[in-house]
Amino acid sequence: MDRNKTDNGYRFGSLPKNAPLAMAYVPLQESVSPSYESMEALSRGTLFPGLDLPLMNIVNSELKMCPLTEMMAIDFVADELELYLDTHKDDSEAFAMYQTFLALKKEVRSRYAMQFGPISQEDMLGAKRYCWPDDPWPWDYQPKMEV
Amino acid sequence: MFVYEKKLQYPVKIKNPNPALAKFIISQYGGPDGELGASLRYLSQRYSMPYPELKALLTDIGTEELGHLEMIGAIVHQLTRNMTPEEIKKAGFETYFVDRTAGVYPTAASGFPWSAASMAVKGDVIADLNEDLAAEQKARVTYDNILRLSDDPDVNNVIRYLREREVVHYQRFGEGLRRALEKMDEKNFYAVNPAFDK
Repeated sequence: MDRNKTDNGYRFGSLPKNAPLAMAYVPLQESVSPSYESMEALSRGTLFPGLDLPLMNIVNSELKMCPLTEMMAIDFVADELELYLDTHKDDSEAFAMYQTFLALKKEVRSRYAMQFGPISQEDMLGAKRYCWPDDPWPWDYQPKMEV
Repeated sequence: MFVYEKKLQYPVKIKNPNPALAKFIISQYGGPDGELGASLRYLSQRYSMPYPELKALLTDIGTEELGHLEMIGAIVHQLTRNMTPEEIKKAGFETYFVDRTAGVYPTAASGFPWSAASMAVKGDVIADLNEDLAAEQKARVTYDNILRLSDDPDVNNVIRYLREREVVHYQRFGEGLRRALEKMDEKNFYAVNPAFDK
């Protein structure tokens, strides 16, 4: 995104003009733009600059690009857009972006699984042997995390 | 049904084991505002939710929280690897160790085991969504507090990520409440509970 942008409009959402009493209202996010590119989104924990509200303004530095983080970043954007769409089902711009990421996810996922092992059951279809139980499992410490 | 994906949502790679940190980070595994309670709260509330968007939102956020439970488990597991009895004593980890060794058990930092009493399912659209808004704030504060206590950058990157997810979920639950209100009687939102009254 353009960091020099002086228009901070994306930080604000819309509230009802006349809100009945005795109810809590959160402003509606109006759009999926602006949004971070996928690796920055994963590193910061949100796709949306307007929702990026870190403690003491300390932000994570960007994750290193490797096949694993590349896959995680694309999966993350798809999941983030899914939550947005759950409350904005008629937002066609968001839906188009979601579908773009789903296509990208499919491509990156099958490339990753071919090289480093299965992520899910369907990845076993193209495997040469039953490698699902193979280490590493995701929670184990791996000094080299290129895979 | 649920299907496992053999990957984390965000990488967890803790270079330096440190059981002293695991002692309080475990609270986000099984504490009152932790990820286990979060996932069960949303995945249980969805049955009585009458609106499709809200069923989707509770399912999707509840599922993501299960992924966060796995990330906290990974942090605790990696912080407690290769411990010696001396390190355990020095870190004050012996009260956990004596009961669980280096296993990951859903407990609060205080030692209180995970309890369904720390979450709620009221079966009422407005009450449950307000509960969820509060729950996301409480989880956010717990992550704030962890960041105030931890000086390990490998841990803090993951905690900052998880904290930010709470902010995003708060926004979505707030929007979910707005979507629910659009379908309710704006002259009196409390006239009926659409999850029960027909």
